[in-house]
Amino acid sequence: MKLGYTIIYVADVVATVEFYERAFQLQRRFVHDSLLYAEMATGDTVLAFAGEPMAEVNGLAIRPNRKTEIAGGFELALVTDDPTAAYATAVAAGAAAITPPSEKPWGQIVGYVRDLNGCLVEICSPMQALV
Amino acid sequence: MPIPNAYRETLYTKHDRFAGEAAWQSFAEHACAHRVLPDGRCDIILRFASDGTKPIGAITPLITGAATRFHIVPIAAGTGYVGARLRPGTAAAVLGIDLRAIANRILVGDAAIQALPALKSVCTAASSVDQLTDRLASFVERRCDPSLPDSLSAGLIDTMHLTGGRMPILDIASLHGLDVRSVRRRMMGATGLGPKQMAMVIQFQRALRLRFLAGLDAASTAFEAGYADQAHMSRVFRQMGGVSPARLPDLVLVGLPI
Repeated sequence: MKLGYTIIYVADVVATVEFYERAFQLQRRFVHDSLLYAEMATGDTVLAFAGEPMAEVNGLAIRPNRKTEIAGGFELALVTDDPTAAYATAVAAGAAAITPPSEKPWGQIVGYVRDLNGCLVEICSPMQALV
Repeated sequence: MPIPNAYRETLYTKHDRFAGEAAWQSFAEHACAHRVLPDGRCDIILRFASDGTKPIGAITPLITGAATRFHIVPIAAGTGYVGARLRPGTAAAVLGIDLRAIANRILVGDAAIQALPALKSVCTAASSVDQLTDRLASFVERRCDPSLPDSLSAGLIDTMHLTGGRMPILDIASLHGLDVRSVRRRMMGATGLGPKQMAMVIQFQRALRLRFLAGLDAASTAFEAGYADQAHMSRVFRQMGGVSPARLPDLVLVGLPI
């Protein structure tokens, strides 16, 4: 099986799409007319956002993603050649600063923010660059 | 799943003009006993003798409060129904009744008119069931207050649905920056049910869908729905639905709104 989608349930799909465009420079692929589903252009593995009402429709019960609560146990890792600049852009756009980018023992530069919904987003340099 | 006689329902999203959650029609060609499951909602219902396309004779109004347990409705052959299911939190404005007073109750005929005199205007002769449906929809639309429920109360109800009735009330309160007493007060005012009761109804409805719509086995259903064990789930199914998780009864599960 392939990892096809990462789908995050959010309170406001449009606000989340706009946030990811501003904070992380991602492009939207589309926002469904219902405003309850959207996809970002992230290549083979799609980053998608679903409106919270969709959870019940899908037969799911979930814990809401909220920036006031402890973060859910997952992260989205975005890879960039300049994590320091990307981190600054994200924080300037309203992402919550968690860990400013720093160099790891294996040479990768890694930082963490939380998005408008409180989801953890890792901003890091590519691993291939180290080989 | 077999639907006894004929039941049709149109769901409305929050973006639609219709202020209710769903408009439904039902016609019983043959006499039957219909099991109504609790769904945490209030309905305004019109009942009449029918040939399947139009009402014949008098139209009887009914107002159903939010229920926490099932009830059985005996239906005579040739009976038609038109119903408006109200979005949780909107019934207080539409009905103008203290919802706590009608929880687990049904007001029939004169009792319904006494509680909501404006309903009388809906019960006049109609040339077709569709016309009656439209008339009821307009009635609900006119009486709806777009500012109710307030966003905080609406948020509480939404969180209960989102978490499948599994989140402790203390956590729901904390999520919305309220104390438990405020949550209780708001839920009672908005729905006629306490938060724990509403959570149990939502949990039950989810378990029904997992078991009977998705076909999930009983053990997995009990686990995912958040029951202590299968025995717990069986007790709840019996108490709230008068049904067993083992066997699929004749059920009409109301549609889920978006």
